[in-house]
Amino acid sequence: MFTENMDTEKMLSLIESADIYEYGVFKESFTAKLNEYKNSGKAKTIIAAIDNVDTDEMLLEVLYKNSKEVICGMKAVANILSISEMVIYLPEGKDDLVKIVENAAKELNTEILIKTGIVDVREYREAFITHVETMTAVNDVLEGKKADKALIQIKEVFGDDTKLSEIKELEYGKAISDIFDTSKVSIKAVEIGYKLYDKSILQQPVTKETVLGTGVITLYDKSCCMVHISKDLSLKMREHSCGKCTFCREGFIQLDMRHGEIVSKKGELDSIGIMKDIGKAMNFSCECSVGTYGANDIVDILDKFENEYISHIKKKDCPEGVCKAFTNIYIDPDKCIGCTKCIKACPIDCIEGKEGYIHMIEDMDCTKCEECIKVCPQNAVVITKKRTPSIPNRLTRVGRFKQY
Amino acid sequence: MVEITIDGKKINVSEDQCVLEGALTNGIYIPHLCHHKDLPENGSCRMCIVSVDGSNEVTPSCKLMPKEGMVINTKSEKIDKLRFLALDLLLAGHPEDCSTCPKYGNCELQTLIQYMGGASNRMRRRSKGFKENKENPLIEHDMNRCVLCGRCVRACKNLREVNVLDYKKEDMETYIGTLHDKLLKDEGCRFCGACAEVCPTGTIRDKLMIANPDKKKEDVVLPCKAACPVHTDIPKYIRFAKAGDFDGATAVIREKIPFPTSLGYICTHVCELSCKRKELNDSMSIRNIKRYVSEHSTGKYWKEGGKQLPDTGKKVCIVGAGPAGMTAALYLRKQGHDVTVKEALSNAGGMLRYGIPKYRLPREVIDEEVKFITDKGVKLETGSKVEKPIELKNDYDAVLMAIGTHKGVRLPLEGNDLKGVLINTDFLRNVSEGKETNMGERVVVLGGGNVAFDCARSAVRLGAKKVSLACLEAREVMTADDEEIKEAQEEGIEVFPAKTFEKITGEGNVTGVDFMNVLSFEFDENRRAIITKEPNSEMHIDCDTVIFATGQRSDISPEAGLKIGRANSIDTDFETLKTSEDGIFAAGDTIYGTKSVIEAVASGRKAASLIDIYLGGDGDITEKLAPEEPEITSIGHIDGFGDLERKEPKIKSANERKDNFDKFDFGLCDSDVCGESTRCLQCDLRLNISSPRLWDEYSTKEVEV
Ligand SMILES: Cc1cc2nc3c(=O)[nH]c(=O)nc-3n(C[C@H](O)[C@H](O)[C@H](O)COP(=O)(O)OP(=O)(O)OC[C@H]3O[C@@H](n4cnc5c(N)ncnc54)[C@H](O)[C@@H]3O)c2cc1C
Ligand code: SF4
Ligand code: SF4
Ligand code: SF4
Ligand code: SF4
Ligand code: SF4
Ligand code: SF4
Repeated sequence: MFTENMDTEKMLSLIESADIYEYGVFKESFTAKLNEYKNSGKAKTIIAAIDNVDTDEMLLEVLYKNSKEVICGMKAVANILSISEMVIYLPEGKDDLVKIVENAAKELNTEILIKTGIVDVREYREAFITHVETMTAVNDVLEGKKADKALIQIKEVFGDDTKLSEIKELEYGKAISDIFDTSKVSIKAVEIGYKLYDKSILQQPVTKETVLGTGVITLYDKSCCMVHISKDLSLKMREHSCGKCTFCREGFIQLDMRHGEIVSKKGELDSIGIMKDIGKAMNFSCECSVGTYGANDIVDILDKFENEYISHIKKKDCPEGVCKAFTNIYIDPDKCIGCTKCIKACPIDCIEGKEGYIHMIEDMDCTKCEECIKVCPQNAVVITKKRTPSIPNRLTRVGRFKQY
Repeated sequence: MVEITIDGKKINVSEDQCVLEGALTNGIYIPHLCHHKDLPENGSCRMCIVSVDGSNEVTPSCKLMPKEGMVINTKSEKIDKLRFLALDLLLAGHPEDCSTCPKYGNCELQTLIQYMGGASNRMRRRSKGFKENKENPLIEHDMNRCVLCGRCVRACKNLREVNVLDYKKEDMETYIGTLHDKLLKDEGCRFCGACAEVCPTGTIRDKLMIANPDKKKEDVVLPCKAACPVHTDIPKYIRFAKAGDFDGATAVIREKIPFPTSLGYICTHVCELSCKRKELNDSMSIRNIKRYVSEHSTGKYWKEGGKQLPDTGKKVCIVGAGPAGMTAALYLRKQGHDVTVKEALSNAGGMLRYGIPKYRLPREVIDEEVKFITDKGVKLETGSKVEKPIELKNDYDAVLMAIGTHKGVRLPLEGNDLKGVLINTDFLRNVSEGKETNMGERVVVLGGGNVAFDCARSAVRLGAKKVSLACLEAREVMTADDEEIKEAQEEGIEVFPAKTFEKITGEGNVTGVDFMNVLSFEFDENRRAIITKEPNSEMHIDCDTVIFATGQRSDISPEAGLKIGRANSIDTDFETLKTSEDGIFAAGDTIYGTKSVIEAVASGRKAASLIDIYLGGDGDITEKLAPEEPEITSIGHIDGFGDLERKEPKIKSANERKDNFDKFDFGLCDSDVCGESTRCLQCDLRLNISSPRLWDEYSTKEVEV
């Protein structure tokens, strides 16, 4: 690790010549930022954290592996800015990481305040807030190493499944497709740093100016319903928002409520426009990255996949068959043997039937949890986007039902 | 200062204040909600957005610092659209109907909505479903009306540094709560009311304000000062007391009262009755703090100096050296007049000296406070009873009658003139002067007020074997303090409430009193007493002495030449304090009946001011004695603040006190005065918080409907 006795001018010039950029969503020249704070002299605290908006938390890896480097980077910046207070913010519930950071600080004989949750930007209006990954870069540069790579992880999202790759280092100048095999997925869209791209982005070289956001590159497979994806994103951010800014708090609530309507077949057409208005305004109407970045991908989905919204709202159809509200469920009267297994499995008790009789699903109440499908030995329970064929309307003995 | 242009209007604003505050200071309204002048910016509501130097970008003006030559637009299509969006979002979780809200008509949010011309209905509305919380004393919460502007949190955290409130989140709904969702009292709340003061909605509410919509805000917020007849700045002197600056504290009191120590002993302390602290547990021990500080003051700030206007050459005569007369004398002297007080008795003090017994108020205290007044140049002539006040007009430019109520009332009762029947005022005066009282061994006092108890307890101290006290009122409505009744009973006095006085028995000498039980006792609309007696409830108490303690009246007759009013008072206009005779004023008990020393002081102050005006002065008798206080915003967190117990004075046991006239109540001890002072909520600080100005108070208002 770099020597603490290095004078601040030297440190500054090393950082300057390496021309580091901030990691995370706020891409900017770190040197410029440092000089700005040096000139104003207002900062009394340095805070290192992952971005507030980051719910992937992949970049915490930096702290798991390199706590000491992060702290040393912070100390260097603190020296340059004559700051005495150092704070590391960790997401809620990371007790193991708290221990790791505490121990690292102890070993380095450094006082670090550990706080949890998202960085309270109001309490720290004047603080120097930086990304933990940037701090390792600073440390690397001061140690004479290069800061020329970023941590990357691939997340593949299918209709109802996600897969995470291992975490890899990507050297600047290389493309994502150089280190990951992305050919297996038939990609509908790629999300990087809360923006949507088409798949050609994977072939383009990544530079230090590229906004990589959380470092997790999400690949949406063709089987994804983008409305549903957007609904999940809204809900996640609704839960994540600290609630202090009107646009972030109420904006995500509106996005979540409107998406909720659409995926449950109750959507209204004007929702598309209103959600775009809200999402776009959030970008410059909130105090931290949760509000300013958290809805960008949702807005992109609204813009790029408007046709999927229109299908849901106007045609009452979820093209990928993901949204359950648009499917029908029934028990095939020719296959059902009247074993009653599905009745026992149904958590909301909406199956009618008894031993030896053809079972029937009350599909008004059914939540389409598919528990019955899992237990049926005859594969008699059918989920379909098509219309339900004619089925018994009262209890009928197995084998007695005739279709006309 | 820099010059900026807002909507084409050039204004000069301070560089240290945001553009929004600069605009507001200059009378230009920019809609806003989370911004509050005294609090750090929150930047959350986005109502205050503007654009700068022709840019199409918007920025909240609460976070924009002015620079020389800046050109700002507060309106444009884009700004309007975004502002509406902000309002719509803000109201998505807010009840639509204002009419049931306690803040209705008085609400910043409501006027903001009006300014914006109402909200649209394009948002999905939801009801937050919070339960109203009325369990806390003084403050109630209804989180359904909260728009999360965060003012309350900043007031509690940044302004007051108490740190009780914070944003909380449950079931995806953000709300304002206490840190651990416990009651305010259990979180160390100081009940300063700052949160309620800054809340722009009907969410955090002051219970007393809601209960008293017609009273002046200042009187509801700071009830102790409002209740005090001279409006002493109570929280200010309590703060000095807490800091150990007893001179400063006394100076605050001395700005209004020339008898602080006497009042520290015997004031009826109406302030304590309305003190807000009693909603948490017990009211502040205001009187005992007053007593402590003035007994421990060296005289710094107030003894020397103070106001003294040059001599006017006008002469004033004050009749009666009680608290009303002496107070008026002091302030008239300070206004530059030549003041003479004529007192019938041999010493000054009025009922302080000749009514209130020594064991409650040591005489050195009165001596010292009277001396301060005579030292200021007031001439005192004792043993000088004025029979013909009108004649004083020959020698004086103005006369004030402050003769109190010195004639006890002898009820029209069979046996009321037997030997052994005494009258309260005479009895107590004789006791005070150490003269023969003609009291026997078994005493019955008739009356249930504090005067009756003074008589009874004096009788015990003079050596009476048995002392009983009977009155018409039921125990709960007796006018004497509970404390007084309790202490009397400890001293062996038997108390008989709800009794009618049938007759005093005996031939020549008193042998006893006949009573009956009262079933009910009310006043009709003509203020006549209606008494229903319980049949067959006759009761007799043997005694050799009866003391009437059933009221006292002014000792004056029409021969004095002044018009006499109700209950033998001097007929006086309460507004002007003028009597029927020009140039003769009246104040104190003699105009309204026996009330209290502090009322007499208030009346004396009023008389001084009015007489000063009558003599050509400006009537302004206020004076500044206490040092300036630094501006206080932070009060800090105190664990268990709401449960801090009232510190009680040290009191001698009944056995130690009942055979002598020595003082028995030693007030607060040195180690308690700071602790007791800490209990004060400092209700006054809330009045220093900037009040919001609603948009219609700005000059550039535009009605948008
Ligand atoms: C027994 C008793 C106990 C009380 N206890 C309390 C108590 O604990 N706390 C409290 O706040 N209040 C108490 N009060 C009431 C309080 O003392 C009076 O309200 C107050 O003193 C009234 O002040 P004053 O100046 O109007 O009249 P006073 O104090 O009565 O003074 C009037 C003065 O005028 C003089 N005077 C009268 N006629 C003439 C004349 N013709 N010429 C010259 N001088 C004259 C009198 O001698 C007297 O000195 C008590 C009253 C009594 C009687
Ligand atoms: S943007 Fe959202 S998460 Fe960030 S401070 Fe505002 S409300 Fe909180
Ligand atoms: S899908 Fe779930 S809710 Fe519907 S019938 Fe089957 S078990 Fe019941
Ligand atoms: S807080 Fe204001 S706007 Fe809200 S209901 Fe009450 S009066 Fe209306
Ligand atoms: S300390 Fe004051 S501002 Fe804080 S909650 Fe209590 S009353 Fe409100
Ligand atoms: S309680 Fe009042 S002051 Fe506090 S956040 Fe809500 S509306 Fe604002
Ligand atoms: S708490 Fe203090 S300021 Fe408030 S009413 Fe009581 S004495 Fe007055």
